[in-house]
Amino acid sequence: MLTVANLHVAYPVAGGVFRAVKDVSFRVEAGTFFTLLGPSGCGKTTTLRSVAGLETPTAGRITIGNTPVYDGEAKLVMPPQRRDIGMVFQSYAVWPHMTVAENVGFPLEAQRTPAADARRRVEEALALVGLADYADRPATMLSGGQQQRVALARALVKGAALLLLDEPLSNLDAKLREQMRAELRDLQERLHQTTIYVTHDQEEALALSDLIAFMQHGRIVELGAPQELYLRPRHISPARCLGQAELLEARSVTMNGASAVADTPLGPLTIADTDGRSGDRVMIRPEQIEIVDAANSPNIVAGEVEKVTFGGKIVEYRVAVGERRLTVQSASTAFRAAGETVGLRLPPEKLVLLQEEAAEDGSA
Amino acid sequence: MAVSDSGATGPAWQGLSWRAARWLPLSSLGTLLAWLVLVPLALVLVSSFRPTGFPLDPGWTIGNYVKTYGSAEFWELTANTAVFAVGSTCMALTLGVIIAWLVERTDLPHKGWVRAMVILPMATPPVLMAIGWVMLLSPRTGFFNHVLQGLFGLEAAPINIYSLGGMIFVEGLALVPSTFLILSPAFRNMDPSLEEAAFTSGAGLFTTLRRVFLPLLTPTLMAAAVFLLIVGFLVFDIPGTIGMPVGIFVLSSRVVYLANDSPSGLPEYGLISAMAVFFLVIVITLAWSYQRMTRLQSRFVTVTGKGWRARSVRLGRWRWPAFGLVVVYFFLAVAAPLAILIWTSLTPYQAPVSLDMLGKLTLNNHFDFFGNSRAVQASINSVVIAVLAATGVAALSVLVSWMVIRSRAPGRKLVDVLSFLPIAVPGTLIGVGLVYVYLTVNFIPIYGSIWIIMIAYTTNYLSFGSRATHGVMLQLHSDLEEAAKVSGAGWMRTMRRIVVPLAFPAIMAVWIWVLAHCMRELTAALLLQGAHNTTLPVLLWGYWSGGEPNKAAAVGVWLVLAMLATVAAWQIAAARSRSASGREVV
Repeated sequence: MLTVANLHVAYPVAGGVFRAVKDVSFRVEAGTFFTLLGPSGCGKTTTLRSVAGLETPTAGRITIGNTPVYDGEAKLVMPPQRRDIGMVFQSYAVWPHMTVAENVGFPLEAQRTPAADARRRVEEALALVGLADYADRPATMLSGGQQQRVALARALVKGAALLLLDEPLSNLDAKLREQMRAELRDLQERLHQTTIYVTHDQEEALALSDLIAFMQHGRIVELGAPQELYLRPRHISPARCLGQAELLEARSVTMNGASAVADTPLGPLTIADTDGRSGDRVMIRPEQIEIVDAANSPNIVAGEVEKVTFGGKIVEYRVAVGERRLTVQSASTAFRAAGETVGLRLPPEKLVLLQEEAAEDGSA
Repeated sequence: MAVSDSGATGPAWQGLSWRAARWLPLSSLGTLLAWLVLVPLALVLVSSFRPTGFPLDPGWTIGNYVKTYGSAEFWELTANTAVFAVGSTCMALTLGVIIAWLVERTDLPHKGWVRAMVILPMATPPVLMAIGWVMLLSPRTGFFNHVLQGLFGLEAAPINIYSLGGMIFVEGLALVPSTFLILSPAFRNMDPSLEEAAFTSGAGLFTTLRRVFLPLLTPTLMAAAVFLLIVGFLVFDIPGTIGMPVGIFVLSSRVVYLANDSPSGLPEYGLISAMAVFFLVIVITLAWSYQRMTRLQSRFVTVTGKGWRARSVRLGRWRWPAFGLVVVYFFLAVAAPLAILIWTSLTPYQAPVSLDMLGKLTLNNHFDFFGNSRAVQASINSVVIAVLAATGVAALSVLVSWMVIRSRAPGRKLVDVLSFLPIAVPGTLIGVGLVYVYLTVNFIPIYGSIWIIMIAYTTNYLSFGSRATHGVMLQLHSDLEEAAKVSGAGWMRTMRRIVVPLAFPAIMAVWIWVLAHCMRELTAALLLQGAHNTTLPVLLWGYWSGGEPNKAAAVGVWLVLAMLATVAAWQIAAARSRSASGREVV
């Protein structure tokens, strides 16, 4: 559906050139919800804007459906208005001098859809986002969440092949953001709309996406399904970015078929499955560490609870194991007190061997 | 934004349209602006080196420069101009800062009226203000002089308006509205939390003013000062009305004198051009520093999106005296000169104001005005020129701003400079330059017609218009336009449906501002006048310098009425633009 190949984007800046996107390539199949995730300045928005045609790349190829829209070698740049896309901006960009219906109907107006047909499709689009009764409202008389829906309806109304969403939820307050997130997911399940979504919020990315591309410094560091990226990342930065992570330095790793034993500051730890990877860190998520009583068996270490933070659903412990401090999260059904000595089990099947990303090239 | 060097080759349908789209804005707009701005200036330069002063005549010489810069008179002229410009700038800045501060940051009573009283003087063409003050303060017939002589039993008239001081006084009064308009947004928009942060850091009022308030305003104040200096250097109408009859010249009035009344009987174009080049150097220097200052100004972003009510300083018992100050200003700038104009327009001949004259009052001058076909033609000319020039400026400004701020078209910087350059080109210079251009390319037969004046005005006010539309264009979030593009709208549709409607209040304000200024503009029209393109200010000037003050006064009264209507419309449009832009900041 969408192919981006060897995309480079650079801008001239004072004293040189800033390379915002470096050799980014990915494919998005029809119906996929694809997320570009990363910290601000990582090139995710620039990539999206290049797909939209709002930014002119320096090299590479972009194809939407079967239509090449950018080709650096052939010097082909299709202007945004000819691309088969709909887009929602971070600022919503709802035109304040138009009504809701005029805003939503604009893409149809631009492609000269007959009025009657256009009216029906505007109504459908508004119904889709739950604004059926707001058609004749001036756009300025809407709340942030409603403007968001207008922008979404406008992006969907002409049934474009590709929907582009640029941090659409970041201007909403926390509660509304959660609600809109659920609605986006619903919509996605109903419409099977191919979507490119840009966000710096890992929760949004995990909850919404079929595929996540984690970007940093203009490159895609890692690309995969949410579970894969969260549970079995290959690199340190996505491991850290997608959630809390305990990273233990592995001084040496002894491979043993699929499994391996890593020599860590906590002692030797068995990793059940390395996926054939090598690396110098062992990662585990705090909620995967189990608190047990028995000590001195494989992958179990003894520690002392230093600090307990009660967070409602979960309890977070800081546990001292020798020199190391480990963060452990568990359901608040069982409760340990500070000062208690506990055993921590790091399940071999949950441990992941990973590495720093510096050497690896970003394309997937 | 990266623009690859694409567009040079490629698939025919894409490459062609892409290449055209990239170069069309620069080539069309750039050519037009160069024709309007650069060609006249170039011809002025060429003409300054021609023995006859005509750009196409043969021969080269530096005689014009030798003659001009060798004479002591010229340097006296320059000194006069400098004193005049600096003096009127100081006066306008002092009054402007006080009034702007009173209106925006204190609990001054009746702020609506105060605003009106400060802005309305814009409706009085400076020529008329000068004529009014001549009538009030001339040593022989001046009304105030008579009053003062009567009160104190003086032998001679105490004040002589025909002096550098008199010119500075009237120019200072005339510049206050512009000063106020430049300063008041800066005073209003300053985020009070910046001051409050200083207070909560333990700074007192004085320290806060010195360390926070003034430094934040310095760029604005400097920009205003430079702007006023430029105007002071260029302006012709007031020094022309007050100084020229008694031989006190500044650069601009000297240029008009050499063009229209030179002793040899023929326009001394060579000398004019040599002088104009000097003009150009000074003013371009000022304009350059103005642009630097305003750029500096934008670094101090004092406007935030949050709404607030500015802190009001309590004036206490100074409230009414402060209000009185504004009333006095209004009296001096509008009421007194206008009253004497109305009076003079009703008298059959110029005479001191007295009860005796009451019986002789007549409407004849007004009937003359409406019965005189030249006057009617002049009114029509004025309106047509003003409407066309205002429309031209508004349209060009939108295009220029869009290109400079929004597009990535190559050469947009050049377009920006070309559109700003006219601020450095005084009406006199544009006038002279256009004379050369259309005497040279006489296959465009517009010399002596209203079209040449329209072109002069369009060029002259383009710098103002494009700066104003730059402001709105910057305010409109670029997402609004990009949303139209990704919705499938092409350039025309995006402009027509999104950009122009959103910028409309500001475009309207530019339109009316230019309209009002074209109605009152004298200088260029005076230099470009022919048999069929007389405008109202030129007619008025003719009556005045021809010794028919009563007829001049009658023309003036009607001109002011027309101006009042346009300024009122402008203020309403501007108020709408203010409220609209507040709503549209996304």
